[in-house]
Amino acid sequence: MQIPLYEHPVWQSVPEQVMRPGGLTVTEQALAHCDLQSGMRVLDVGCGAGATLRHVTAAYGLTGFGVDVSAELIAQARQTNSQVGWMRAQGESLPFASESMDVVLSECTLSIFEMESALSECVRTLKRGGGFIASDLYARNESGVEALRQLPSGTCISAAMPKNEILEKIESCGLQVSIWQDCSETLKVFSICTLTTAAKIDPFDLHIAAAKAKLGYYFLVARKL
Amino acid sequence: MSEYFDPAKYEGWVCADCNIPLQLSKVDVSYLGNSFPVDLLKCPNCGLVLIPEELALGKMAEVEKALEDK
Repeated sequence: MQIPLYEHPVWQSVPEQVMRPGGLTVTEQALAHCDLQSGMRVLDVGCGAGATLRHVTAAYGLTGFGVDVSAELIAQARQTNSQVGWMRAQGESLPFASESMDVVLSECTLSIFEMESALSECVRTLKRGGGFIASDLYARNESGVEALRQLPSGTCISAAMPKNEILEKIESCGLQVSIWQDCSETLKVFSICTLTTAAKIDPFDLHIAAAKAKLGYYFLVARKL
Repeated sequence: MSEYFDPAKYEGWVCADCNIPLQLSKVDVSYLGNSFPVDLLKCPNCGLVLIPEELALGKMAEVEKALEDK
C-alpha cells in the first residue's frame, strides 16, 4: 500500500514534525510583518500534525484553526492540542465562513494544491486587510522548471514555479504582496533525504533537477485588498 | 542490493590497503551540504569507498554537470 507523502513515518524523525524548510523560524519572520494581536483568528491551510499552530497560538495568544487533507495528521494534531480547531478538509474547499480570519498561513503547501482554487478560498476566508502568508519552494531559473516537472508528481518540488508566476497568481486573487523574502539558505539545512524517501524520488535526480532550476525557498506576506 | 549498480559485477573486489573484501554498506553522499544514503561497496576496515564506474559516469556526473552550470 502506498503511504501518503506527509504520513510517511520518516517525518517522525523531523524535529517537532515541522515538514518544511526553515521550520518555525521562517514562520516567525513572516508573522513579524502581520501586526498580530491577542485573540486574532489564524488559519493554517495544510497544517499537518499542527506544529505551527501549537507554537503561534501559545506565543501570540491567537485563536487557531488548522485544516489538512490527512485524517491521520489531523488526529495527531488533535491529540497534542485541544484548543485549536482542527478539521480535515482540502485547501481548495475551506469549511469556514467568508471574512472570518485575520491571518491565513500556507506553508510549503500552495504548490501542492490546485493553486488558483486554494488561493481563492484563502482570500474568501480572510477579512479585508487580513494577512496572507505563504512559503514554498520556487524555481530561480525559469528554464529549469521542465526538469522539476520530470520528477514524480505530488510534491512541492515537482510543482515549484518561478517567482513571477507565483506573484501573478497571488495578485490576481485580490491580494497585494508587501514582502517577498528569499530564504533559500534554509534548503541547506533541510533534510532533503526525508522528502526523497517519503516521495520515492531518486536523490540524484532531485539534485540534478534542483540545480537546473536553481531551486530556492521564499516566504511572502500579502494583504487582502 | 543497490539501485545504481550490480554488486555481483564487483564480487571478489578487495581493499588494496587492507586486503579485505569490500562490503555493500550505506554511504552518505553529499552535495552542497545535503546528504543522502546510497548503498555502495566499502572497506569494513578503513572505510574506503568504491564508486562504481556506472554511477560515477552516470548520475554522479549528471549532478556535477548540473551544479557546474548553475
